Amino acid sequence: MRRQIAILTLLVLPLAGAAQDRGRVTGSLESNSIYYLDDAVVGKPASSWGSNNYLKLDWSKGSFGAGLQAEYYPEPLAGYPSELKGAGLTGLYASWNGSLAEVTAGSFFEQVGSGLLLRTWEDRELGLNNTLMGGRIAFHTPNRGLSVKVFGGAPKYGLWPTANTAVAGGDLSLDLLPLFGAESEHSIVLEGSVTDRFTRNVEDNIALLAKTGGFGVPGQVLGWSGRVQYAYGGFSLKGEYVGKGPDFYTEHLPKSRETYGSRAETPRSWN
Amino acid sequence: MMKKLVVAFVLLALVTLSASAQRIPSVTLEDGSGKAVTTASLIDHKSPFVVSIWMTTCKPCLKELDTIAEEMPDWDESFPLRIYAVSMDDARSQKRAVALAQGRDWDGITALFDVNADLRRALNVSSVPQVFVYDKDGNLFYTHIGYRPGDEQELLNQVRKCAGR
Repeated sequence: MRRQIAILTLLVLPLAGAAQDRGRVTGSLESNSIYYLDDAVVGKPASSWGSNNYLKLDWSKGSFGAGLQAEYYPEPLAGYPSELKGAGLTGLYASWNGSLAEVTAGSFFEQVGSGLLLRTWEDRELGLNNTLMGGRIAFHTPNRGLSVKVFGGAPKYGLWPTANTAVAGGDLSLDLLPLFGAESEHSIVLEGSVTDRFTRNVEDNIALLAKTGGFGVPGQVLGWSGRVQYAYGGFSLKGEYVGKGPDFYTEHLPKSRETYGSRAETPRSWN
Repeated sequence: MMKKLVVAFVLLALVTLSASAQRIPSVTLEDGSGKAVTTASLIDHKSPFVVSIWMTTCKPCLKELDTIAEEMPDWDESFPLRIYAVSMDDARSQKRAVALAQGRDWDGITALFDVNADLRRALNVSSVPQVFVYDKDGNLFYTHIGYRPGDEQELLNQVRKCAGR
């Protein structure tokens, strides 16, 4: 007999408003709430209820845009990170989007290549949002033969950007045939990216090194990726090579496992 | 504090509930070969168009696009039926989405890929499938979430209405 009853309310309101000369406002309000009853098999969560709430608003006028995202968790739903409890402004940005260039200040989502090297995204079903709070500039030629972007920022963890970690990087894409003015059904694209992650809490790292006997979070980690892509009609071939400097996982995880077994965890400052 | 935040949420929502014409957001997508396609280029100022948001893991999405593709040969209006199937698959599953779109019998449907989820965020898409009908100038005319058999007929009727038929 089913002993647990969960009540889920899902409210998603897409919102839109506009005025002739004040630009356009769009947004959404989403609320997921569950009340938990005692369950003889799985027990009862620490809190008898949970509620995840998201409000997103975007304004745009011509090439300019701005927006915010606020999140409110009086009690996060069971299974969501406890760091989410409370309220926070998880997104805030202003942007300019021209025909050849784009500038964003504030929070943004970025991905280079397949995302192996860098990927920031939001998945509310997982409670994940690692948006970067910083800035990004992107440029491309009219035929998109050359595309360049540079970016930097602090990833969000919980409800706010991390105070001790920052990521900077750049991406270059060369679509060779348009770049040299050739018209063809073939497409050959060469791309390269570089990222650099900085961790500022050196004191914490030193303490961690002492505590764990030699492994911690490096102050700086360089990563890079090279990509090649060929396409013709319905056929496409893509390849990517990703490299990364010494990092917690690449250098020290085997040792940490040896020392601590499967309980070895990544320090919070790394996330 | 908690009450104030809840009140703020509700007030902000109410302020923005004055619904009106909503243009398609300016976002850059990719086609199957990785070429950039801007949403602005979908506007031809001649005929309405449909943006259908789908994912490879979403069976109702595939069913909806299959049934739309089946209806396309019977489209007898004087303007073309322009359907853009925008995949929300991320970079890792995008290759599968490209192959799936090419492998299915989606003649007349243009598959595009929102690898960085820019359009998903701009349109506030929270679940799939979701379809949007835009008029010839890119203003939102109709939207619908989910798919049940027969919904494709309502979608096509909305396209006709949007074109003034």
